[in-house]
Amino acid sequence: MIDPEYQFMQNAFIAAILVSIACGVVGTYIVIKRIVSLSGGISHAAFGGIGLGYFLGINPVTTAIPFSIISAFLMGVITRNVKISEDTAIGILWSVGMSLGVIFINLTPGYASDIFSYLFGNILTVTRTDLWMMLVLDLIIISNVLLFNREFTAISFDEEFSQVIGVPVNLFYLLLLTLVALSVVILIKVVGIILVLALLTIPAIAVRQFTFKIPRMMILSSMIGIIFTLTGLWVSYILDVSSGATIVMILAIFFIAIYYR
Amino acid sequence: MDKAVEIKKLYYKINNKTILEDINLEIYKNEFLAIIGPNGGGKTTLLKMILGLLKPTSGKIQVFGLKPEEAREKIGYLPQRRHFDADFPINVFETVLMGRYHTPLQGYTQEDKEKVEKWLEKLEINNLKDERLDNLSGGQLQRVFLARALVREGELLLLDEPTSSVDPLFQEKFYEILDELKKEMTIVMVSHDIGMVATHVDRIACLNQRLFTHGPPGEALESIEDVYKCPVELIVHGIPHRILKKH
Repeated sequence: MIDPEYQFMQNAFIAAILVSIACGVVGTYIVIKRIVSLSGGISHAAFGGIGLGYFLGINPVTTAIPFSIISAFLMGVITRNVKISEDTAIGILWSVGMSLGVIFINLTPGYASDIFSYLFGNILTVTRTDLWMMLVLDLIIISNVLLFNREFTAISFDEEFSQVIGVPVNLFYLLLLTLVALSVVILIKVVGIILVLALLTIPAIAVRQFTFKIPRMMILSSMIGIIFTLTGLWVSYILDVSSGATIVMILAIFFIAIYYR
Repeated sequence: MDKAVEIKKLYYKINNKTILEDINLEIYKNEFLAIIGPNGGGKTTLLKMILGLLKPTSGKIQVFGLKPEEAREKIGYLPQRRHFDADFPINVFETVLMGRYHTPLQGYTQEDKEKVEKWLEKLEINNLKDERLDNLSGGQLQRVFLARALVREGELLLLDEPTSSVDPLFQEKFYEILDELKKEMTIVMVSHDIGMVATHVDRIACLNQRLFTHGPPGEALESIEDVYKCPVELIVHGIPHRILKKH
């Protein structure tokens, strides 16, 4: 038998690597396509999916997958087609998704004990099942990027011209938002819905000044993610504070250091 | 003669404001047409209609007998305003290579890369191919985007203010390239640079909500010059633009 505490730490260690890959790869697009607030909207709306999981009595992360994909689609379609400004649409969907989550949890009998860990993350609660799911989602993200990096890069660079050269712009925009949704799901257990955005943006924006090759940006920011998630994990263990928040603080300090060096 | 572009009774309105009104235009294959007119006259809008980026409110538009969006693979396009971040992680070569895009899952071939090299060389920016875009001057950037349009090697080239921000020395070179290209393709160019336009294009159209086509520019200008006996500064159709012959 493995020591249970050791098992937690081992899971946390693997989780740190898996989330950093998603962050490095998808985060790079989020930063270069400037869809940070849209991604924030998707991650917060995913709370509706968490609530739905509680309500149905199943693993909330499972219900968060379809829920965040649907909210990604809604974000993508509504911000493009409705005659209100994009940031307004994001703000509305953001709060509607969270409200749905709260109502679902209210309707669920009993006390939602570990809801805090979905909001702010707790890397030590990551189970083997979670790891498998994170691995599968990582593989989906990576294979999509390997196949469609050309298209994602083109629409991030210049949407109008992409349309002119025949890139199915709307299709790939929605696919990109779906990948954002999947990476949000991967991150929920580790940093929580509210802190997701830091992990999706800080590593990518930090390495941007060192390279102007997109694949290199992805690899570098994944590596930085791994280093600082593990550092955060270690610091949070020593200080006995929340792992998600510690990881974000470590990343923020790193970013400031690198920016003002 | 075969038609590259055919526009019939085209109207375009946004929020009940008419942008284009009753546009009728036929552009023939291997013709070099310049569209001139005041700012806000709808020149860029008309190009976007030919590309299928904007849909007409009413009327018909065909490109090589097809719907505009179906003809896109035959079109090279230089936009006037560029929508991109200057610090986007991409270099000159990769930017131009994008102009060779095929379809999803189909990568760029060796031929594509050779075409990029060829056009970088022709536009004299081969030495910049590894540069980031934010290290380029306005004129260099314009050449990069010109290369991105030309590398398509399509049958129709749409140029929106191509000579803005490039130095005069390169302008000469640019028109030489166009003179060569027009043997093989149709060129539609929106421009303010009327002097240059008049000496190189086959036909001029003036657009200010409505479109008026003129004959060959030389002829049109000469007949006007005959009347005035001096280099021409002319107001047409109440549009405050100037037509000056190079002198």
